[in-house]
Amino acid sequence: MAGRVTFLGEFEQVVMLAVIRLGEAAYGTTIRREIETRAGRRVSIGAAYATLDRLVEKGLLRERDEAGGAERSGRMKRFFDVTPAGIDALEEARTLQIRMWAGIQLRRARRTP
Amino acid sequence: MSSIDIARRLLRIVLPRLDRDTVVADLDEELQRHVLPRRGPRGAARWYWAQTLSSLPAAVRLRYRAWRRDETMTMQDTEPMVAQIAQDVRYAWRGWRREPIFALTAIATYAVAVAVAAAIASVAYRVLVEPLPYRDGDALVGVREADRGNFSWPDFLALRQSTRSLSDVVGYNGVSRALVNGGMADRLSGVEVTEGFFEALGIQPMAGRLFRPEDFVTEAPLAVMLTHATWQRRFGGDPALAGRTILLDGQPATVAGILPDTFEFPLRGGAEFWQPLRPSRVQRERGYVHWLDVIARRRPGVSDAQIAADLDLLARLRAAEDPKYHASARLSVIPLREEIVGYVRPSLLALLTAVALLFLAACANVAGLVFARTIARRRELSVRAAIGAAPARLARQLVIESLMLTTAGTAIGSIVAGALVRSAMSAVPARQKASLLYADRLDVAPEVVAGVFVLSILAGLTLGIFTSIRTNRADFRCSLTLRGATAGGARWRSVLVAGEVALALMLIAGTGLLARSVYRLLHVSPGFDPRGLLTFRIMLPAPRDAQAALAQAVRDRNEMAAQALRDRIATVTEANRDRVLAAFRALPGVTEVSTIDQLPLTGRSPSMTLQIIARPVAGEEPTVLVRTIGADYFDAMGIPIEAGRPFNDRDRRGTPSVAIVNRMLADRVFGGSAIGQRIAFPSAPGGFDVVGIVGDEQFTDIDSGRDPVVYLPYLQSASGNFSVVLRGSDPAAIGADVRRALARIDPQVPAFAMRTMEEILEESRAVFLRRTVLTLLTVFAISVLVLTTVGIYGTLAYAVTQRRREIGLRMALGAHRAAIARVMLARGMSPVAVGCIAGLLGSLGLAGSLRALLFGVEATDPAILTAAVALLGSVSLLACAVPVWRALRVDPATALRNDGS
Repeated sequence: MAGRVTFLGEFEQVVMLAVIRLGEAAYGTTIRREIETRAGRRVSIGAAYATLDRLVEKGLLRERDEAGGAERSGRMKRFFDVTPAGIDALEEARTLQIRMWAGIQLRRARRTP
Repeated sequence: MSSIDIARRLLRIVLPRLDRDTVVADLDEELQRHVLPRRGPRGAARWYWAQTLSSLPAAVRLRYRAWRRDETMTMQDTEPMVAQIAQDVRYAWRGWRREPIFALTAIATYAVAVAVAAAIASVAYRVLVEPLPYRDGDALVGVREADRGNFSWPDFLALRQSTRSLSDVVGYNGVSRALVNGGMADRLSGVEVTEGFFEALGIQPMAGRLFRPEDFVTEAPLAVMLTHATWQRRFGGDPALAGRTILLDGQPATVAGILPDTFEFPLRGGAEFWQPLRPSRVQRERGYVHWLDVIARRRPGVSDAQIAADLDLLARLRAAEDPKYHASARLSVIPLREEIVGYVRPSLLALLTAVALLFLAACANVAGLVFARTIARRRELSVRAAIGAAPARLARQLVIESLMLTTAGTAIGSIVAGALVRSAMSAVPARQKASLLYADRLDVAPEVVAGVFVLSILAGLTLGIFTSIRTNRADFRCSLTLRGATAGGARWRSVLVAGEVALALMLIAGTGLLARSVYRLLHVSPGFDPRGLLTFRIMLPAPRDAQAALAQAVRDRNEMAAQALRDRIATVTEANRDRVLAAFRALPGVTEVSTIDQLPLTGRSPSMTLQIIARPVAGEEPTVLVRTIGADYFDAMGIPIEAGRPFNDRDRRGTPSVAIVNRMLADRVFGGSAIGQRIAFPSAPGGFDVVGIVGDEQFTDIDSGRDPVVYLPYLQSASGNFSVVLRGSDPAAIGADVRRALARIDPQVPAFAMRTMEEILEESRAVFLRRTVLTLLTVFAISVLVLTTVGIYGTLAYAVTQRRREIGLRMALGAHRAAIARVMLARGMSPVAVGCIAGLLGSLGLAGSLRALLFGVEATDPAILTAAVALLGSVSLLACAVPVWRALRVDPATALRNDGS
């Protein structure tokens, strides 16, 4: 497909992986917490949504709104899951990484005495 | 609202509409489920705020993306509307940056008008509309005994006991006492009040207590309440003052309590202390001395008619009980607010009218500026229309620009208004300020600012809609190609100019009328010659031991001893007074010195019922003012002796009692010839021989009527408390000499309330009320005149530029310069003529708002109206001169060649 020139940014990858990990339970709160606990990175809910919104716009994620429970006083819960195009994009990103990493051994440059 | 609520709101505002609920619900869910249990409420709030703040940049991005999505989908949504308006605002702002003179002029004009309007409306609102600073102040009334005003003690008791329509009947009366504090003697004015006075007003002390019933017992030790200001100023705000003892008139007095900072009583504005009223025996027994002011509270649900009936019944009962002095007694009530602020109402209403005129003129001026600029921008607007801007969009642009103008002007004006109020209040003479309600608390009222904002939005909308209608009507394609004549725009500017001329004329006419009134007031003869008079007050202390002995003798009912003591006190006081006056007489530049118990034009004074022995003209016993004067009083004041003789040093104790009456009393009661008649007062039934008739002098105020007056000689009723009138070449300079002379005799006796008689006149209420209005009206009139001149000039200059071609053509065809000048002048002056006619009609219509302030001049005074028209006409002619001159210098060749390009 000609449209599959979508490159994923690093944070976009993190968000998409979090969505996949969470499966059925992927919505704002859980996604944000997943990133914080697993990646050890501070994320604001706004930043998470900005990225989710962009990924939806790119067609890599899908969203669906469901009525929230009592703890949200009935406010909508927006669930996300990955579209096929999203899977492709992630595959692409991983392959790219693997290819680029192949055979590389990192050595820190020694200081000259 | 908790801090989390604030954060939540902030986040909601920034987030796009569709995401608000979900995002905030996510955050809330996490807060409830994970954060609160772990971190507690404070940690949770911190966490929430951190989340909110770090989410804001992303929220802005989300919103931007949502808006862009919407815009590509549809043009009709509300979100892009906001953005478009933002764009319009930015566009207008850039326009202002390009033409800062226009923006600054328009905003400044509007801001000044708003500032003045808000300032005056705030003062009027606080004084006339806001509740009085008392509990349920609107139910409080002042009770008056008709034709005297104040009550005698028996009348007061009768009212308090028998009224069924009023409750909380209380009385008050002015007193003054010397306070010795830190070695310095100072005279304080105070108020004595009957039991329950503060309770009736609903006043609680700031410290200490109110008066108790035992404080009102005659022999009880004196208790006083101090005002907050006095506590601060004289006692350094000593927190332990309540309960302590201070020295008043050399006697110990307990400070019962301190009145709160918010307490004010403008009817006795200068009062520093309050004391329980303990009527003297004389006051208790004599129903004919009227000295007590009374206020009361109307009972709930009682109508005006019921009060009137109740008081009528009471008055008739009093008349039956005591036909001698109460045959004609009538009782009435007026709202306490009216009693306190009634006298400033005409001034405030006149100012409100004037400020409304000023505001309208400023609006007309701003409208003129905006029209002119819109006409200048036709090409720009046409280009925008040509490349596809919808008419509605252009209209919105113009409306938003106007709204921005008026809103900016209002914001600046509201801020300036506060400073205006405060600086205006600092210019008010202290004597007048004391009797002005809320004088120290006047500031811009939020209600007024809100009103001004609403008004400004309306003005901005009207202006914007009007300009856009005018602009839309014009044919844009036409203005793209031609520099078409814009007759329509010019016509509207002429209408605005005519309006401004009308407003200016009304203001100028009002200013003229008031200026004339103030002039008349200051030049009306008060019956004496105020030039060269210095006045001040002195209180000579009575010998303490004799006074104590006298009090004892009175208690013992030992009339012989009491009389002897009174004589002794009087002799000492007279000797002291002679010494002091001799010292003043010896001062360089002093020509006359005398004394009077209360100076003219310094406020109300108790009145007495006069008895005429062998009365020639039948009728009621008249109520008169009684003044005790020194022998040379009429000489010192320059009051003519019309018949008989003045007092002299032989009129003293032990000689026959004599009196002098004024012309008014002589005419009214004795048919003109009063000499040799005998008069008496209920308190002095022995009677007095009338030995002289003098010219009337004005006592209450210079704009009020004259009163019948009886003068008694000082030496037949000596007292240590009197005012000195001193005539000299330079009264203001003699003051220091007077103080030095007095200090040499007795450093404990101060000369206080020292003013020249001309200062008394200048500061009198009659002059103050009008001069304040006059000063402001003058400023308004000049401002509007300047605005109008600029408007006339601008319109005509624009017309000349527009018609250069026509003028050139006429000249080329041989028209005379005079003819061209005539045409152009007619064009410039015709809106002025229309405006003058409208203004004259307006002046007649508004005459009523000024009438109460006019003195010695009619509201329709033809001379002043003519002068106003003449002034406005000549200034307008001057404004036309430059454009006409420019029209005459048009070179036909250049004009014809350059046009049509």
